[in-house]
This record gives sequence, C-alpha cells and structure tokens, in this order.
Amino acid sequence: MEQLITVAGLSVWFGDTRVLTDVDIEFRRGEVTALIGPSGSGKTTLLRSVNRMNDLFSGVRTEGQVTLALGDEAVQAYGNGMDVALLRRTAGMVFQNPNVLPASIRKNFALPLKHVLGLSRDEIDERLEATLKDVELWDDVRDRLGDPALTLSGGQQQRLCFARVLSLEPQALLLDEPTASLDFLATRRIEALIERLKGRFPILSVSHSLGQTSRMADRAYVLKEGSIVEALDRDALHDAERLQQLAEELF
Amino acid sequence: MRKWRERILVGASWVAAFGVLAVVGVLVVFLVARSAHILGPQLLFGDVPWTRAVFAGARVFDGIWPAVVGTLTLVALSAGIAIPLGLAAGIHVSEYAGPRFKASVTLVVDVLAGIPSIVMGLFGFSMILLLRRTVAQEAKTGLLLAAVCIALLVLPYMIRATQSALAGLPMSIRLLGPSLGMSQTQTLRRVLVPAASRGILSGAILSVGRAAEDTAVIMLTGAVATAGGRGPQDLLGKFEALPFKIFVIAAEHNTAAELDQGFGAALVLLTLTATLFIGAYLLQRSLERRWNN
Repeated sequence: MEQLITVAGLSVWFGDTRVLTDVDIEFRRGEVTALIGPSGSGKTTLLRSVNRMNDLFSGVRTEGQVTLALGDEAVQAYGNGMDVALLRRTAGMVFQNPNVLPASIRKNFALPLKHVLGLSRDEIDERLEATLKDVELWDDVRDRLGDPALTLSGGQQQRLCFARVLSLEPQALLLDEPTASLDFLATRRIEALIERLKGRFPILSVSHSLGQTSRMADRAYVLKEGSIVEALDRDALHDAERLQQLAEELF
Repeated sequence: MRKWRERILVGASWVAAFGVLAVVGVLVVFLVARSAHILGPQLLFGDVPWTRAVFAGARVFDGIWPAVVGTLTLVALSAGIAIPLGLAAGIHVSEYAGPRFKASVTLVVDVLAGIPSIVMGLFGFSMILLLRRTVAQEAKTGLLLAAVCIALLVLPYMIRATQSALAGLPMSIRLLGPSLGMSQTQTLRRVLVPAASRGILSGAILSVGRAAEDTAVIMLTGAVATAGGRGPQDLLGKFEALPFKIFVIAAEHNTAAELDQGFGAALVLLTLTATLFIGAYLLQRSLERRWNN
C-alpha cells in the first residue's frame, strides 16, 4: 500500500497574523519532497503543522486537514482524540541545528527510548547499536558512548539526532533544513543518508538551497507569503534555466 | 582618543576584579590575624573535650559549638522549606502561568525580595503575638519560626533563579522533548530542569549563604546568646546561631580577649559558608554526572 501524507486546505494563524493560506501538498514514500521559498514564507510552519508542533506556541490557530495514510487506515492529525505524542513519534522531526543536549552520546540517544517507550537498558543498547550503524555513526562513537555529545563534530551530532528520531521507529520524516549548519562533506553524508531513507517512508524537507533541492528532491513546492505558488516535478528540478529563473524570483 | 578610552576601560575592569580579591583577602587576613591565637578546639568547645560535646551532648558554655550547630540546623531547615517551594514556584511561573498571573507573581516576588530582613523578623515576631492573643497562648519564638521567616527571606532568590534559568533556555531545547513524543511533564523533568540546573543551583547556593548570615530575622524570632550550652534540642525551642553570637559578643564584650572570640566566630562562620558552597558545587557536579549517564 502506498504511504502518503496529504495536507489539504491548511491555514495557520499566529495571533492575528495569517502565516499559511489554504495550502495543499502531498508527499509519499520513495520520494524526497522539498519545501522552498524565501525566509518568512511559512516553510517551517507548514512542516510543523504535520506533527502539530505549532500547537506548542500560544495563540496558534490551525484550519484544514492533515491526513496520514501510513498503515492500514488513514488518520487525521487534527482529528478528535488524536494522540499528539504518538503523532510526533510517527512523524519524526530533525531540526536545523543539531539539537543535542549537554549530556553523553548514550544519554542523548536513550532519553526518549527510556522515558517515552519505557524500554529496558538491554533493549536500548540493542537499538543503539543498530540505529547508529544505520546512520553510519557507530564506528565513530562505539568506544566513547559516555563522552559528551557536544564533543562530536556538527555532522556527527546531526547524525546522532537522525539516529535518535529513527530509534523511535517513525513512519515519516520531517526535516527542517537539516544541513543548514553543516560544512560541505558533512552535508553530503547527510544527503546520502536521506537518499537511503526515502525508500522507507515519506520525507518532507525544508531546504534553504536550490542546489540541494535540485540534487536531492523528487518534487518541490514553492512557498511565497504563505501560499503554494508552484509545484515542481523532477524534470523541472533538473532544468537549469528554470531554476535560475526561480532563484531570481525567490531570493 | 578611542584607543585610550578602551585602555582605561580595560584597566578599570582589571582593577575592579583585583579589588574584589583584595577586599576578600584583607578581610580574611584581618580575621585570622585577630583570632589566630585562639583558633583551635578551645574556640569551639571551651574546656569540654570535643568528643564529649559532639557525641555525648555535653554542655559547652565557653565555646561557640552550640552556635555552629544552631546555624547549621537553621540553614538546613530553611533551605528545606525554601528550595522545594521556590523551585516549584519558579517552574510554575516560567512554564505554566498565564501572562497576567505571571506579571502579578513577578511583582510580588520583587516586593518580597525588597523586604529588609529586620521587617521579616518583625513579621515573625508579630505572628507570635497574634497567635498568643488568639489560638495558642503558649506560643513563643523559636527555631521553627526563625526557619520559616528565613525561608521567606530567601524564597525570592530561589524563585527568580529558577524562573530565569528556565526562561533562558533556547527554543530548540524546548521543542526537542515534544518532537520526540515526550509529554509536557516529561520534557520539564527530563530535559528542561536538567538543562537549567546550573542556574537553579546557583539560586540555591545564594539562598543558603543568605540564610547562614542573616542576623536581623533570627534576633527577633528565637536566637539567644546562650541556650543551655547545647545545639537546638527541639523545633520550638530557643537556639544559638553564629551571626547572633558575633553580634552579641561585639556589642557586649568587656575585654579584648572576648572580642577576639567574636573574630574567631566570624572566621568560623565564613569557613562554614565556604564549606556549604563547596558542598553545593560538588553536588552539582555529581548531579551533572548522573544526568550524563
């Protein structure tokens, strides 16, 4: 069965300010879907509307539908009786800056497994090894899991964050410019990781770079002042002239 | 011109930093110089063997041991009241309160922080008068009353420290817990409070230091010059405390030798607070280690 997340007729207000207006997008397994647009166009708000992170800010109002068709039946993110904590685990999120705590590598990884899933130490260790191998971090850190996570390089920290999210066994990924703070090589490694992950579940990624979007994305939506102004398919993303034109329009 | 200004500014900050060190250094040297010849078991225990005073509860009339025990008990009691209460209040104001309630609590905390300690002492004293005229005619000043009043005195430090340490956390840390499916309580307990622990603990240290040195509150709420030569025996009884002891010696000494005992007591009080600070620092280190593993 196809795994698909659909956003339909979505509008979001922060207080009296309308940040998103009647947005329709969809993203599916097997593809990386990118959100591009100038800063302040509502990219992050749109991303956060999928796992209801906007709810954490006071004065936010959301209208419209987010439908997650990931398993046997489709669920409404904003439907009655939605378990928001479960929703946020289902649609895992990676942030712009590596969001590690000033604690050890192991603790950073184990925190949600212990307190959200209630796993035992052995189960956590098992997942630790498997997931860190998955993100190609295991060999770098296997001998120093007790060291502070902040001693890792930026790229390693971000891969730790990916591992922490993946260990919760999400069914979709929401990425908020995950390479914005990284250097060239670290960026390429994260991109390769995302490329591998897109076969497993739908990925929606906010991107700050048209180059990266063209390299990685299979589909892109262009946001401007809170509305989708254009949807780009793979061909359009590889059309250099079209991209040049877009860059001039947007930035 | 600009370069000169910068140099003067840098020079002034160096002078200020060394000034603080120098003042503390002079103070300690002065205290040690005045009390060096009486430092030793004699100062604490008089003629009573220290083992008997510490373990057998023998009465000490010539030493400051009862005041040391009194101050430690007082600090433990008031910290036991103020720290959990201040922590809870700070968490509530920072994480749960609405804007209007937050504004009014902040105002009240400011007012409380501005109350001179002598007024807090008078408040405790009038509470006893009120109790005597109403429900409890036997009520009198004592250790528990002093501890409650001291706790009220240091409560604003604790609330403010907790509140600002939590408020200072970056948005990314606040979003982390929910993004991993943690509840609000889990995020608070597992992510936010540990991340703010340094600031919270510095509030606790400030509170403990203030509780140990305050004189005005306890002189009106139960501290006495001599309480039977022993540390506090029960919560409602009178007690000795170092700051009050120093005050009494300074005010009523007859000979220079007696005054030297006051300087000795001051040095002991300084050592005591320094030890508490070091203890708090070690506690913080071990908490951070525990959080790490």
